[in-house]
Amino acid sequence: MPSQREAEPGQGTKLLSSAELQLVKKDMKSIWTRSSRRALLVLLPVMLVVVIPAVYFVLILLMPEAPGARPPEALTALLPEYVSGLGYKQGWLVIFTDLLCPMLFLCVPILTGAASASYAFVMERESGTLETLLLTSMGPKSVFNAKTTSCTVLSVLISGAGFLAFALTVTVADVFAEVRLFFTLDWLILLVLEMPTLSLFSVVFVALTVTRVHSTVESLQTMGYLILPVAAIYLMQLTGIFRLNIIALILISAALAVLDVVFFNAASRGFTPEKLLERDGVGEE
Amino acid sequence: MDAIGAYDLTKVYGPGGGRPALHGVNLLVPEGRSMACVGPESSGKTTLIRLLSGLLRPSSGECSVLGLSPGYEAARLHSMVGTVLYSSKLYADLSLWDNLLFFAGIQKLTKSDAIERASFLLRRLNLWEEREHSPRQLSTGMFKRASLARALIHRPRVLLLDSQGAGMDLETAGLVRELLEYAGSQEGVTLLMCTQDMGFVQDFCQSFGLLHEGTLMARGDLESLRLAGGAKLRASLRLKDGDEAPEGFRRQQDGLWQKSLESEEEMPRLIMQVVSGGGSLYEARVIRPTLWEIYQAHLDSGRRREAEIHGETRDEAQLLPAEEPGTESAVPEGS
Repeated sequence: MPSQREAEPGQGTKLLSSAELQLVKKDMKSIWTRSSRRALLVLLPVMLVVVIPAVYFVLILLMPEAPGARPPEALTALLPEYVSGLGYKQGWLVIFTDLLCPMLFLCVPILTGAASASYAFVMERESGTLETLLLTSMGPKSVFNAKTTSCTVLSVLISGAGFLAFALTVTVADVFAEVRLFFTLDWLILLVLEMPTLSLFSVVFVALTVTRVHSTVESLQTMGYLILPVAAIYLMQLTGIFRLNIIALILISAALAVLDVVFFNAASRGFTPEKLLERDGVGEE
Repeated sequence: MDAIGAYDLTKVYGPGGGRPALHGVNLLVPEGRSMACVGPESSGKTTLIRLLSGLLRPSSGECSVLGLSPGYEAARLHSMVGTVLYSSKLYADLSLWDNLLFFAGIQKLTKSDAIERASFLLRRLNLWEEREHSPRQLSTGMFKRASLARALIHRPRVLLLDSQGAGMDLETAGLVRELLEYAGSQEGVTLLMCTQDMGFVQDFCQSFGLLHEGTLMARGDLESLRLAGGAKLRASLRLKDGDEAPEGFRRQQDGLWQKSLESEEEMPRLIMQVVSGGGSLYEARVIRPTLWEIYQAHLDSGRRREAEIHGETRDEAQLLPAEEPGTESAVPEGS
């Protein structure tokens, strides 16, 4: 009896085929339902965008304030004009929120993107299920598209949720310190442009290295390579020489988008059964 | 129409070359037929299945499955082909049932069809009670059956199996064999199985390929392979204790008398000889060499041929095994 296969009307216009959609759902569920993976994907963002800022804000509010003390002028000069009129604690609060917190926030899409891609690509290769997927009618390109989509969507969702938690934490601190609310156009660009492009970049970067790494642990270590440039750029602001303004953020987002396309195509081209399985010493027989 | 074809198929791993994992393999499997390629470890079995399933691309030569080139039309190919490799696993965080439904969905089966097919396969393979288990909880034999169910979930026209026979317990071997026979007879599935368990495939595959160190030594049906390899039939007699068998027979440890035969035609004469000589004959039968014995005969014959080629120059045609009329020709590789 012939199989009753699902008809896919208008498949050409769909972003994902039904098989890809099923794999996306399975991957997201698989990454999320395992407590060890969920712990990594939740605890790291919570630590970065809730715990560290909260501790810092508490320390700022509790630290002794010498009369007439002011934050470093080189830093306040980088911030909006109203900051120079703020007190010592308020000034440090804004400096931390505007100059360092973006770095902490951007670590979230990097970590979650790279971690979920490590699970979806490398761990599946290690466990032999990637080979089983390559033996289905999806084809390598479809498998790659589905996995990239699931990891990116998961990373964006977690990062979005992380931002909400961060916004709540900072707003509470802003209210206590009696400063203007933190959300500016810079943050909007970070949230809608830089965060998604960075999520996708982390995912395709891990996907690009899937044929080169030996294990999931090794793959997870790639997160370090991705975080370093972001940390370096944001920490350099503390020298007081420059600040990432709106134009710089848009340019970085555009550059990331271009890199996303380049890396996506390169990773997709390299996602062939022969390259994926040669590391496992297949075909020894 | 041939469902599976390999033409001078060669695979060398790595850029440095070295000994080919598969060298100049030619084989054809007609649609609806079953073929087993047998050989020990490192004989090229897994490489052959990987090439035919598109997981590897040949270094030279070509292969086709259902008229498609596996390396270039993998997605279309896998909608019609089921493949079991020892290294392709099921999801440990899904139950066996969910695994089958997931792969059925990936293969674009409707939900109801997937449920019906998965139920059928799990019952045929005696895995119904284990359907809610994780693949991690299954025994090795059960896992092999589960992998077979996954490969058959979308009713493929061709089934490629790698090492399915190795290390199977009796229950698994029986169930797998029954299902493969059913798939062949009722669903018209063409089967190519690569295994080192020659006893498992001997009785239900219609043709065989003998792989050795990446080379297909010969292919054909069992009888033609026997003739080509020079594996002799044996006459086996069970006589009354104390009776002597005719000349040429040797007594075995189990008390039976055995002798090599040139052909089955000799058997009636031998029986007559025993009976007319006053012997008490309790049992007489012709023992056919097993696939393993035929394989060994081909190996020995190959070694002898190699020694002759290196020792003294002889006309190669003289070294080729003779063909017997009425049997499928056993084709020595490279001919």
